Amino acid sequence: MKNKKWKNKLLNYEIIMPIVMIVFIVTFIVNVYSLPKVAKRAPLLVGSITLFFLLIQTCISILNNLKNNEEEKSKLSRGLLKNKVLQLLLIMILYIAVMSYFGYFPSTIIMLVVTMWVIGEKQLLRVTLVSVVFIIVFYIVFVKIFGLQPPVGLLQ
Amino acid sequence: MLELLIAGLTIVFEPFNIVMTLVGTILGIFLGALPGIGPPLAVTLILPLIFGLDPITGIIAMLGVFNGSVYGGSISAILINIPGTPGSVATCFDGYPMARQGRAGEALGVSLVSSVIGGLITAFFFIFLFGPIAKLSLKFGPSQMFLIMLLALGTVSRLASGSIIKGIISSGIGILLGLIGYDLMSGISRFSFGYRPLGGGLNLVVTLIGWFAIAELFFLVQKKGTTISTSKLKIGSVFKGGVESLKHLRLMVVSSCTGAFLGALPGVGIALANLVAYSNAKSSSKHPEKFGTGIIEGIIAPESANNAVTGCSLIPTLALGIPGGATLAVILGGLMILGVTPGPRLITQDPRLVGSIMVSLILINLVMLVSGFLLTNIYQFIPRVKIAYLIPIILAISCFGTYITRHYFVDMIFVIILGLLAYGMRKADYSIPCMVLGFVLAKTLEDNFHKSLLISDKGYLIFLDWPVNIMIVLIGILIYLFPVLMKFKNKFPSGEG
Repeated sequence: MKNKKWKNKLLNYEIIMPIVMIVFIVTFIVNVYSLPKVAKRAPLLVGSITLFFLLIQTCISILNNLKNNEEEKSKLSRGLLKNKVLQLLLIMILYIAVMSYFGYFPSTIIMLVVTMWVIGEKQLLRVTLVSVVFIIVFYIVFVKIFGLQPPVGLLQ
Repeated sequence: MLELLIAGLTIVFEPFNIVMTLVGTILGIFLGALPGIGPPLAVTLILPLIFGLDPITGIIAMLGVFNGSVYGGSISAILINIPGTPGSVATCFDGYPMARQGRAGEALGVSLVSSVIGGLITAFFFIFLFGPIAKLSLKFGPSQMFLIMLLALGTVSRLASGSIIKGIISSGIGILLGLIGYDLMSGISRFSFGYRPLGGGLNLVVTLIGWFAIAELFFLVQKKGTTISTSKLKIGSVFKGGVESLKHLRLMVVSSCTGAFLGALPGVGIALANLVAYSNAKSSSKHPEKFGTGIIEGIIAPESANNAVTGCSLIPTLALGIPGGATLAVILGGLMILGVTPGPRLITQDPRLVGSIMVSLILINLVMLVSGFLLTNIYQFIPRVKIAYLIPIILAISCFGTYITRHYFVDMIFVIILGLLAYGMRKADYSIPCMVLGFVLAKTLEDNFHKSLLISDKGYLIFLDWPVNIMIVLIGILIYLFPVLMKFKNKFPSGEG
């Protein structure tokens, strides 16, 4: 129980994001370390300074979180399947995957309908109408008037 | 200057450019009125539209969206007490109470005329100041440019971020992300792992779409309820409000000048300008106790100031290539798409462009005035647009905009990763404007840094050269130390032991 309490205190964005950034900076520094001086000077300088402040900030965040008894508002949500952010992320990934095969317009219609449904718009007629109107307006404005070509899928 | 204006007039009044002014401004008002979609996202969403356009037409469209979105924020601020943009926070204080008194139309009219006057005043500042500042900046060498950019970054870190340390970290992360790809001096690719799409670095448009559009979607999806608001208010007469506001011309001008001055400073922007102007208006009023109860002055001050930011914030962006905030960074990205290189030589290399910007800043405000009066009955419905419609539409436009930048599918993966990064950083209270500025300035900073060392016979001491460099360094130190000194002064006021 005590371990879970500590885990809950530390599992939030204030601590996770600095760690992510530290990993990025360390990877960057390792990547440029063997390069000639002129290529690595700026990244090493900026990376070192940023790393220094990140380490300070991480310590401050950890101490603040351990002291804080209240529920952290930036805490990561439990119940991953119900997490709307993760649902949206999954939709985005699937949208891109479907688009790579079927092209922009079919995948976008599917994405519009699915996303509206998932977010809470349950009236199928409205959902379909908004999707169709958007696609038509998009086609006229971007493709016909501005001559821009949306992605064509592998199967097209 | 007169030649610039005449050249600009002939170009801006071409039929297609007038259409784009109208489309950009109205689209900007529409997007700005949607809570959660501020000017940076509004301008980001128009980036796909400007591909393939003539540079002048593209800039006109972006400026229309920028100005329109700054004004548009007041619509939701007045009607539903939720600022559409950070620049309309103070407008809520008196705008919403006025709406609740059945004077929503009057409030919208006041906001409209104040915004237009603010926009026109800043346009005149731009017209008169751009040339002299561009000429002055021609005298800057690489070490001065490096220090000025560092000063801009430092100022944004200080002012746009709640915590100095987090501001510095955001700037540092932005710079490192900007350094990915080929080094300008050696031609060696950094942090690309031999992967071709990363060889040239992270694309600016892709990055901005990720940080503004995609990240915002993750916040929008968490909003409780499916609509912003369903409250219905009587609109009443918009014209009456507009006419009433002209009786307070002095306040409009003073607030506009405040906004224009703050707009020229990096890191300040509309968010601070509207609050400073409101605070000044209240403290200088004969009846400060009436502020917050629904008085006209409480709308005039913030709305004049926030629109006055737009023109003057363009000056450092176009003359020095240093964007003063997130929206200007997006505009800078748009300029690069259009093949325009901001900097001190812009006025000599492309005087037609500069003249067109001057004229379009005036025209955009006039279009805003006319469309505001004619379309208020439509604008009132904007804050009621369902989030369920907004999110997938923004996602569709963002993915399209990402793809047409370089025609790489992998850019859409990058955009999601960058969106997640920005989302996480905002949740942890890190400043995105700092990160954006660092990203945009990264390669130029490094280039000026290397050039300074190449021409220096004193090594790193060139950055402390007398008198210009040392003055810039001292200004930077002062900006950082000033709040600390003020805290110290308040703790130990004179007279106490």
